[in-house]
Amino acid sequence: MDDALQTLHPRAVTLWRATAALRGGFLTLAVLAAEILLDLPAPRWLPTGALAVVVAAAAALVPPLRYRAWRWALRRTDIFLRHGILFRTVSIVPLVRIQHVDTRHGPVDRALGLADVVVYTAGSRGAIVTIPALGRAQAEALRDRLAELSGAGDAV
Amino acid sequence: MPSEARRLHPFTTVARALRLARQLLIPAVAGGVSVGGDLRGVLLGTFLILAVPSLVIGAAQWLAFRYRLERDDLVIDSGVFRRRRRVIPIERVQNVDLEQSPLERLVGVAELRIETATGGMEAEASLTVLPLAEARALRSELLTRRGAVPGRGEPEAGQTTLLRLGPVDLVVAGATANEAGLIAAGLATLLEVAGQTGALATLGDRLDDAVATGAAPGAAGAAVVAVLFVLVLLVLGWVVSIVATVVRFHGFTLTRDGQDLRAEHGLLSRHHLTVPLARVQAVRVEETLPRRWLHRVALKIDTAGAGSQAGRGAGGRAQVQVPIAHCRQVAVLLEHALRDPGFAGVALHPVDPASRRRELVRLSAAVVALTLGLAAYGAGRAWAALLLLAPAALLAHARYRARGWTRDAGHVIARDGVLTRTTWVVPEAKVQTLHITQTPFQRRWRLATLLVDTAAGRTARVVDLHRTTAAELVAELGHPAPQHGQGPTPGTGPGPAPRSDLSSPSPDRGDAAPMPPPSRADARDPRPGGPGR
Repeated sequence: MDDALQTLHPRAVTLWRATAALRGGFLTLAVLAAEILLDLPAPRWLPTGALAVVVAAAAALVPPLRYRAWRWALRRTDIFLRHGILFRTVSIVPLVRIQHVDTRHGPVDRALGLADVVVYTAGSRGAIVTIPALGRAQAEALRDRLAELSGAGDAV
Repeated sequence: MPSEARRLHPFTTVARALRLARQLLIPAVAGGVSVGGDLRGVLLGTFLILAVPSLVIGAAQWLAFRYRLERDDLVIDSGVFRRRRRVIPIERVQNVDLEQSPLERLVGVAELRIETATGGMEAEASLTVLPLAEARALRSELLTRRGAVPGRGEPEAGQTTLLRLGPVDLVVAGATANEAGLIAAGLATLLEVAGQTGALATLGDRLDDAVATGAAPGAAGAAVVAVLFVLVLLVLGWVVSIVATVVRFHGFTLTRDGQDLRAEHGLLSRHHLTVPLARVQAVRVEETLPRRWLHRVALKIDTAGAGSQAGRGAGGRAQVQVPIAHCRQVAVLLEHALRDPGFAGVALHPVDPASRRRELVRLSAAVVALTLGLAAYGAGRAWAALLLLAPAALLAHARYRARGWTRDAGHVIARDGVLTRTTWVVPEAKVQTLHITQTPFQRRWRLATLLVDTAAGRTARVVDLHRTTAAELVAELGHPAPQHGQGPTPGTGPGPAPRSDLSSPSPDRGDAAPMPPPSRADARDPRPGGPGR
């Protein structure tokens, strides 16, 4: 099995930029609407402008860092995940603990040919683990492989 | 047991109607009053409007509800308009909870709740209400049949009473449930001292003057009023906590019955919870500061589903709570709850010493920020806030000392908390997923927090391990043995553990002295006055 650490699909950067731009864009529009409707005193456009700059900068700079920080591997007995730019998280999901596996893709994922793999365990706080932005075919192959490898029977 | 379909007790109609009415009563009354109309008329009207439909709906639900016990399943048909059949495999039955509200006790009926965990998805069946005798019979039938399923382990004969609590124990439990009583006592002493020195009288006079002249009371007077107010609130909260504990846990009995744990308690509502030991996910030993002084602890025994929606909504039915126990009893309770006779007292490892530095930096940063903030607002002598650095240093040290961890006989043990100290005992065979998190500061000090997730509903954590230790632990814990339904698995993970002195799977039974475990259970600090700042 491929024990080596793997990266996400390179188009993950595009995906995250697109979603960040979309969300930030909506937020900026909302602030703009508030500014116009409430007829705020001068300096006008300043909050909107500042927000637009921050959103644009975040959408441009953060996704590549996030992509660089993401590693995952399907190992002999578990799934390994590591991610986080500042707050780093390593997760281990033993294969026998997997309850079921999903692939998930929103409209933007679909447009880019990407999908998330979502792994469910019977745990509490860390019960649902997601490997985001894999290539569509790879995600589906991984899902089927995990479903096959996961423990049959009582995992509680 | 015959497999013909059976109805619930006719009192179900009233029970359901009351439940429905309770949900609708307050909004209905509020609505009526807001529309206009005197309270009595509104209440009478509400009663008439609610009573009839509630009873009709209750009766319809009672008529539609049928259950029958088949060879392997409990089958429940319900639903007035949308018929619904639920089939519960008896071998999946987890916790069986028999409950009686005061009214139900008068009528002689009981609610029987059956929790199952089918692949982590929680399903709850509730038989509301059955005649008490029938509820008892059904419960024991379910438990016997479940026990007879092969692979569950031989049902052991005989019952052992593990713990019985009297009223005095429960008063102590309520009184020490949190630090409110302590703080109240401290405040009262403060006021007493102030009163004896005459300061209070002076302040009181000044307050009276201020009230008389209509002027705002001075800062000192306001402070006394605030302190008195807080004191009253604390004492009230304390009394409520004591009364609630006594009422809820009256007649608490914890019994080991073969492969089940049974808890019975309640003054008004009677609870009778049965939990299969194979489903115990974690045990939490909780010690508030006053409890540590009295050598008492509280225990929470979590089973799967404690964190699920059903478990939460049902008020923690997936959890056996031991409101109070002497620290000498903890070893025995843990042995039974975790089915591990070799569970001997172990000393905990401290976490990485850098933890103290990290806490010191964090707390100092807060103090400095406070000082700068005060200075920015132009407060005189803002630098005096820097004096808080001394208690900050002590708190940092206390936080570091409160943390500890070890592995013992197939269990992960983790302790944390300065005031209320919580010690987790997690069977390694129950570990679901493992996580290591690092904040930027933790990365700088090469520290990491280890999260050990089980189906218990909460996640055990060890804060500020050295990152290498955390990685080693994850590597060892991340290889659960295939499930055999039994608890601890000796020798987890391949190869010798780096700290083999601790992970020796079965300590010599002869060495398991009748002494209380020094560190885990008792958790007293060897230095007097050491913890609890």
